[in-house]
Amino acid sequence: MKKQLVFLLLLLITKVQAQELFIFTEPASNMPARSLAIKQSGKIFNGASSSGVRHATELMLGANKNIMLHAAATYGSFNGAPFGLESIRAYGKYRFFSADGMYSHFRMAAFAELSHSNTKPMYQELNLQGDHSGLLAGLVFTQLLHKLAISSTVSYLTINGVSKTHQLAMGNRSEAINYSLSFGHLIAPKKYTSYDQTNVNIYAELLGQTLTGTNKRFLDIGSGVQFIFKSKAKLNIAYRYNLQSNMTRMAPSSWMIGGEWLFLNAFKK
Amino acid sequence: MKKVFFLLLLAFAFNAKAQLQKVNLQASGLTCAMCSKAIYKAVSAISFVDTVKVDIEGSTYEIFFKKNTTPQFDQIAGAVVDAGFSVAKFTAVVNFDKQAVDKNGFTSLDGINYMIVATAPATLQGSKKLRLVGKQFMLPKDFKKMPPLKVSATDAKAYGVTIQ
Repeated sequence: MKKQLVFLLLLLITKVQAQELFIFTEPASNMPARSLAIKQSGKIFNGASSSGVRHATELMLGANKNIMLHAAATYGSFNGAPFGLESIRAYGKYRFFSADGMYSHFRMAAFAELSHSNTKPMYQELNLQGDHSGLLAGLVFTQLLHKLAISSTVSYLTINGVSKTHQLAMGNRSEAINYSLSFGHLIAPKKYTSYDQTNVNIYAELLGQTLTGTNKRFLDIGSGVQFIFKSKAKLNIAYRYNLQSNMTRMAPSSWMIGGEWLFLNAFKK
Repeated sequence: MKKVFFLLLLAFAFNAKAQLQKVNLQASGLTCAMCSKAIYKAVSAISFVDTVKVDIEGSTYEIFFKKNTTPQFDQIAGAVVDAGFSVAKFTAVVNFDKQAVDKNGFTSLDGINYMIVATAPATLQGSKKLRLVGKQFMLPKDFKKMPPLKVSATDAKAYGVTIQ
């Protein structure tokens, strides 16, 4: 415990710079207004109940300084099933509070996500990342403090349609609370001199879920490395594994690899 | 020859007219190069901006303007906010030549109105650094420390400034 405290203190006082371009969660900050990004990612799951791949293509838009919108589709193949479209989803985030200091900020945002999926998973875990149709709404808080980026989200998830009927028929729940706590920091370059320098960031994110009205929950850790090329293209490589769980899930661990391209000033004012 | 001389004179006259030399802007609320680039691109895209020199580490931008344009300072600050960040410090470097200032601290040059905060000299001479005073031009803690203006800068359609 003492060791961890010393490490945390060291992080606070050393001149490492923070990054909040998290891999598994969204920060309270938005994309710049009138910018566009395209994200392509692939996940490989390997579990007892399920194994397979899932790809996602996501378009992201900075509508204005406070609002950003995403539209995404996921497609993949599990347990030898033919490769095909699994789900479509839309996401919106509204930044409603910002307190900027020199090299620091605290921001808050509200977000909502709507998904339609045509898969019928056989496990209790709920998500809108391909498995279920439903609605999710929540809050995100991001603090850049003494060059350490910390972000936390809490959200409510309810599934509907065929997803809900299917889960209830199996005796499972259709609602959950999701929560996360993310840390990020920049490890290279040591000194910024140009936009062409490759940035390397490392992340650690705790991701959890509790099914409402039950004691069923899981807690995962997602850790990853991110490369940013020429201040416009990202490459994310991450591994997510289960720390603790008492519910049935798709897989206890997964690998994710993804790329993202940012187009600044994509739209005229 | 006469024509050439006249043109040369005209060129000098126009050169002398560019009295707003540049703007130094420091942005706040960011630490990443990708964020800095978003600000750089947003400011560079403004119609009256010619070039932007950036110090990523210091989060500062040196902004130069196109000839025969009237730069709008609030539009520059707006571009930083649209990119998702804030302005910590905004300084205009202006060349004055026996520029008269009225008793309220008001003066106008090249279509840009300035209202000097606190005691203002009767005339301004030489190159001066004018720091803009206003919520959109400084950190909240710096804004709180600013003395109030004699006449509202907004009413005078002017930028509140302090001489650095």
